[in-house]
Amino acid sequence: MEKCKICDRVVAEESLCRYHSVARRNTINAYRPWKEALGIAWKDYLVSLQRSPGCGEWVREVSNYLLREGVQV
Amino acid sequence: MSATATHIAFIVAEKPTAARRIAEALDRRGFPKKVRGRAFEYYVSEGEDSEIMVCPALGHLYTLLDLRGDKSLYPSLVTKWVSRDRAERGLQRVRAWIQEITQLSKGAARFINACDYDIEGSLIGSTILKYACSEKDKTAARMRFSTLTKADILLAYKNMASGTDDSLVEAGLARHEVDFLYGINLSRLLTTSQKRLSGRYSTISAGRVQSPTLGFVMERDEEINSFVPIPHFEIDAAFKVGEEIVPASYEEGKIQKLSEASRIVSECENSQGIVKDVEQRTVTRSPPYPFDVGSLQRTAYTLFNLNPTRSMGILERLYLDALISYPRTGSQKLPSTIDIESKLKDLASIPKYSEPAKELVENGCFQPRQGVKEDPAHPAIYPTGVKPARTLSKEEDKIYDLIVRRFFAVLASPARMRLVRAKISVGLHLFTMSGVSVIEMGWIRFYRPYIQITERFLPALKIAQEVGLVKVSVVTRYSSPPPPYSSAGLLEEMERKEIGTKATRTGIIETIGRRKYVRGDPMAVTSLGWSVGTLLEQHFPRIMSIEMTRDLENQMNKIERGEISRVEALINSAELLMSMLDDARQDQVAIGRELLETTRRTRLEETALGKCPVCKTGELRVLRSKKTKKRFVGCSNYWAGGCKASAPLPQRGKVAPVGEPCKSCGWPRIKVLSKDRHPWITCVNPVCPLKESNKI
Repeated sequence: MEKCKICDRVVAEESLCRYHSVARRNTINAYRPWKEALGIAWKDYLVSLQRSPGCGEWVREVSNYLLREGVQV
Repeated sequence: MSATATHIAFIVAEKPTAARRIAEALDRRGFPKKVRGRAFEYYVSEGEDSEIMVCPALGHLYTLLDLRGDKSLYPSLVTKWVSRDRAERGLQRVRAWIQEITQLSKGAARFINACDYDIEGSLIGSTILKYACSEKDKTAARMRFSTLTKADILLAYKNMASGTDDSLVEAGLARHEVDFLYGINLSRLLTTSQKRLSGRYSTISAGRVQSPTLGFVMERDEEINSFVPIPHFEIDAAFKVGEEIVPASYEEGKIQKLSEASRIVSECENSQGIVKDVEQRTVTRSPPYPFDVGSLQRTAYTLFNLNPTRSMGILERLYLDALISYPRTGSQKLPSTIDIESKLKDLASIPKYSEPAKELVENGCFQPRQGVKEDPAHPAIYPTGVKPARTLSKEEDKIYDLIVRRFFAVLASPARMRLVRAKISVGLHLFTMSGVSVIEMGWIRFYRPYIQITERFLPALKIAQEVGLVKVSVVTRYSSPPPPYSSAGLLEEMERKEIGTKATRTGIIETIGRRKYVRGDPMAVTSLGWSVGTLLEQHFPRIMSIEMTRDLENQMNKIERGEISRVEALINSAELLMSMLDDARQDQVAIGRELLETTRRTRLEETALGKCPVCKTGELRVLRSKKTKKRFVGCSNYWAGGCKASAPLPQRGKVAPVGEPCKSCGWPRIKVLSKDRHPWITCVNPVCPLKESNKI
């Protein structure tokens, strides 16, 4: 059984478990309003998420993972 | 002693305190004879025409037993009602209690169920009368009361209905039987699936109401954990009006782009404001509804941080002291049969309520604001007017005071406020100032300190008046995730989704905490909770669905209304359960594997203390020496990377990580909880510099 790259749970989609997959989807979808609001680059956006109030724990983990893996949109 | 010919009536009360109150009310002189039996104290009252024996129960004395006996076998659908000592360990007291009831009831001519008037009360009384009193449940009479005051008890005795509440009892039996069947069968399937693979036994539980309740917390936790805040911008401004600085907000509200917000600010800077419009209106705020149990528990949580379990315990004590009406009510209505004037007059004799109670009497305020929810068995919660006979504890006093002041508030007149809004233009942009002031306090005065109104006065403004813009700036704000469920919030959600009953919801919330599926209040799902919940969603989607639970609740309600029989409902439930078990049985190996993984992960999480400060990559964990069986701290890299970081641990008490590492040496800090001393926090590093200077 393939394990999630972040948490050790069973993989649901693209190397991530069900929960981190949802967080990844949300992270990618939210980039557009962030870019419109602040004119921010993808990498800066992922860094900014780490400090944003109310940012979900899985989203922080996913943004870290995306930074680490150098994933681009 | 047994009920001889002179003891014509034999009354079963739900609890010892209730038995004493009933006996006192029914005794002609108000002093019944108290008899110390072998298992409990009971009372003999001199009634108008006969002697009355009042015996207490101890809540449920009977429960369900699985007749298959072996805890690893499922499906198990054959159950029997037995005395609780047969089904649970360490309850010899219950056996003695039942024996004494049987002995005392012999020879009585009349049997009366005087337990609380609801499903559970009817069931408690009915099972005792059936099993301990030679099947007297069918012929017994039923006393129905909503307070334990003398007047209400006497009235209930006089107007006693013959025949017990058959439909209530049937609904109660069905609810217990269905919950028992779902609970044991699902839990056994999960537990045995894991045991078959690991050889170890550990209880994994699921239940008809418990599982969807866990589902609510999971759903909310998922929303919070996968939430991405979206930035938006607001423009804060302040104007100088006379000598006052008055805050104002940009009329358009949220602005999506920073460039747009910055442009507005730069266009407003160094400009003057002109008053364009001043609008005033009066609004009326009606009094709150009378308390039903759910709204009271939520208010107690918000105001006093009392979780629903604790507030329910307090409410029960206040009810048994006859200070308030029956608390497990779903009603928000105070019917006209309640003599509100006399309750107010009685409350006026308590010094701290004297003034407001007298004022309401003098103004003839006897018409309460009625709420929406109804309960055919009991009215909304209200104070009886009886003076507390003992000093109430701090928490009891808080809840009692809240109930009394709420009672006053629902009788008082509406409050009236004045809202003022002024529009200020700065160039092409509009800003708004707002103020609020109270015209008439109405009910708010009676409900203080449980409501606070903050008045904000605007200085006098005229149209075309110039006001100086003293501040204008962009503020970045983010959208927020929904708040995590508090125990009171979860209770509200269960009510809204109509799962569980007002009597069972609090216990279910407690159960998911006890099973370690959730922790804290506000709640977060634990790793174990996530795993079990996800597994149930995958293999038993119907048990996690609200529809199935709600459908079963509807069947219980139909039994209560006499529309379907208990047997019919049980057959429906058993069929549904069997089909769920059949589906899941095919996946048993997968379920077992997932649970094994879950328990392994949970065990690892429970023993993890924090990052290893020596190798920087491993994790320090609580381990046990195979040789000495003593526990110690060791690094997870010991086998893989040879990190030898280790430290001794206290051998007694529970050890939990604090979270923050030690500021001095970076090793994890732990909290030690033991029975014989206060909890203490220490760094696990035996040579921590702070420890040596004794500063931790």
